[in-house]
Amino acid sequence: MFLDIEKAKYPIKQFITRGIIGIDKNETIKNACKKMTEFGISSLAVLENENIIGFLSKKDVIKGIAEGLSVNAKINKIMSKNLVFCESSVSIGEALEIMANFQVRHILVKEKEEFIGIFSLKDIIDLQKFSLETQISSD
Amino acid sequence: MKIAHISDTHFPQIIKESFDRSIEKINNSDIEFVIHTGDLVDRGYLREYEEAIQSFSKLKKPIIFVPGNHDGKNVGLKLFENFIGPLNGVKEGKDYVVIYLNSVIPDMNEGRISNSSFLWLKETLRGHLDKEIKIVCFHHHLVPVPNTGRERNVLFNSGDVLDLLLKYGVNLVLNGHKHYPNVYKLEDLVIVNAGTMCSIKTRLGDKNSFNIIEIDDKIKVKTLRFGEIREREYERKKERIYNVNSEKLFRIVQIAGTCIDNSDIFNKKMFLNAFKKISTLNPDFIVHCGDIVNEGLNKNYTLAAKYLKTPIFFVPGPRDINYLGYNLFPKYFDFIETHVTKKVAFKFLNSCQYDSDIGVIGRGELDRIKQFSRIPSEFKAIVLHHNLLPIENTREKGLLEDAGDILYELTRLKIDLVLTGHSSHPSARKIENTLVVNANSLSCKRQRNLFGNSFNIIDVYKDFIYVSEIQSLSGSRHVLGIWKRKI
Ligand SMILES: [Fe+2]
Ligand SMILES: [Fe+2]
Repeated sequence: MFLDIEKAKYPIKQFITRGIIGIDKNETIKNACKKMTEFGISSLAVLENENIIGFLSKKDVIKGIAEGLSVNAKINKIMSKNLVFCESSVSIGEALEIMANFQVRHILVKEKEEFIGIFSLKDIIDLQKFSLETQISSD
Repeated sequence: MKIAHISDTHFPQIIKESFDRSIEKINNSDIEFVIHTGDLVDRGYLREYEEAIQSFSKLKKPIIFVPGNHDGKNVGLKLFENFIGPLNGVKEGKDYVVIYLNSVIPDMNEGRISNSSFLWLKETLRGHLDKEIKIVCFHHHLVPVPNTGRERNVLFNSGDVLDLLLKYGVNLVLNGHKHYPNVYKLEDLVIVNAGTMCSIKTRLGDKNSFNIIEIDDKIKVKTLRFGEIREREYERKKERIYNVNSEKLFRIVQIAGTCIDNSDIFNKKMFLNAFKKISTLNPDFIVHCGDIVNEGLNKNYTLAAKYLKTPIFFVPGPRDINYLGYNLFPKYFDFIETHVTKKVAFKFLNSCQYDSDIGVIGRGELDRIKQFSRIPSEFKAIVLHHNLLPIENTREKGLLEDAGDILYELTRLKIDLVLTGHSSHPSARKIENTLVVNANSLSCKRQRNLFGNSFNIIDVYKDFIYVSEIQSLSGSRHVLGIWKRKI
């Protein structure tokens, strides 16, 4: 799917999934996998006292297991501690650039010092919905 | 910040006492400025504009006038521009922006945000993303308002406008037009309707009123109805992080628009794939929100009965009861009124009228809904076909005729979940404490979603409700949202 420049200027804020789904840092890899399947998502925010301290993606899990970790190991062993994030006002183009630079498929979105959502490459499909907006009304 | 929201003065049809009292109250208050959400005058005549402008010279605060349908009668919008100024505009402060725009279709009562205004609104919001408080004003109501009779004149494209306002984090929308004061919180957006400040045109023998709105960490809306003050208060901050460590209570699969028949309107491949997927999802309940068959004909019902053998709760859609459907639906499918378990109680409503696309619930049913709300189950869900809230990518025509009153009652009774299945586009929005979820059509060729034919799963956890959409063809999942439950 191609992203046209015209749409790429719109702020990331419009395209994020509202609400962040998170898991306690002391949970096992196995449990995290279970939850990702249950919620149909490919990443989880890692929480300590309901604050985000890390990020766990499917890729981290595969890498951890490949390196020989047990599925019963804690997720804080494999999570990314460096949070990749952007401000909610940056354009989708800019956000994609940050994601490319860090080579990640998900990015946390921040507004006023607070994480408000996650943007994933999968969400780009929503961009396409844009072309239909208010075709039903015109002068 | 503190502002006054007034509306529908309808010069010259005014009650002078109401006008003078309101203006005096505003002049003596510490509000920063006033927003008038339209119908300044009644017929759009020159004399009316002159009288209105003359009267408002008594006001000692800055004021923004937004055009209403009555201002635009008899080519009145030209006069509006001459007397007042541009129909669309922006007022900016250090940490706020007010964007006001024209929703009038000349000589019509219905409203619309035109294509060019919509794009202008989007660009203007984009240009003011950094503002802490974003307020948008237009005359016609964005969502149905109670106590105003038959639902008409909501913006044609209210679904798209609502979607845009939510995406850009608008805090407050101000509307007039219905002459009845009302306040809702929909997701993070507070939607305020003003009554008429001084016109004789009140509803229910209501009093004149206007609103004082205060915004800090909270949004406080005070409706002054002369002798009676109503107050609503909402937190601006919203729960953002949801811990997966919450007990899962049950799963509902919500489908609609199977539109079964022999023609190629019914996409058999979509249907079979979707049901293959559903059988792997282990739902506790499957709910069909209507339009089971494409037309209410015997051959379609025979076919539908063959296809739909899984236990499903049904409500009819207009397609199910046209032609012979009125007789066939109850013959082929059970329509039960309620299903009650300890965890959840469902109430199923028939919103259809014979040979009509327009849905209605009616007063009699409202009493039964009130009774239902007293059932001691932990979670209460109402299922019907037609829409209660405007849906993105569709026109407003799918709304119930009595959407204003029904929406008001369901939110007042704190019904946890409302499931609908009209308009062929998925949507999930929380209004007050009620989550309203609409399903796309599962296997009808006529659908409006770029994600394709789909259905929804609604997972109810102890602490939150998690809603996703599943594509009929591929079974891929797309999250519609997650909402905290009131405990
Ligand atoms: Fe009016
Ligand atoms: Fe009006």
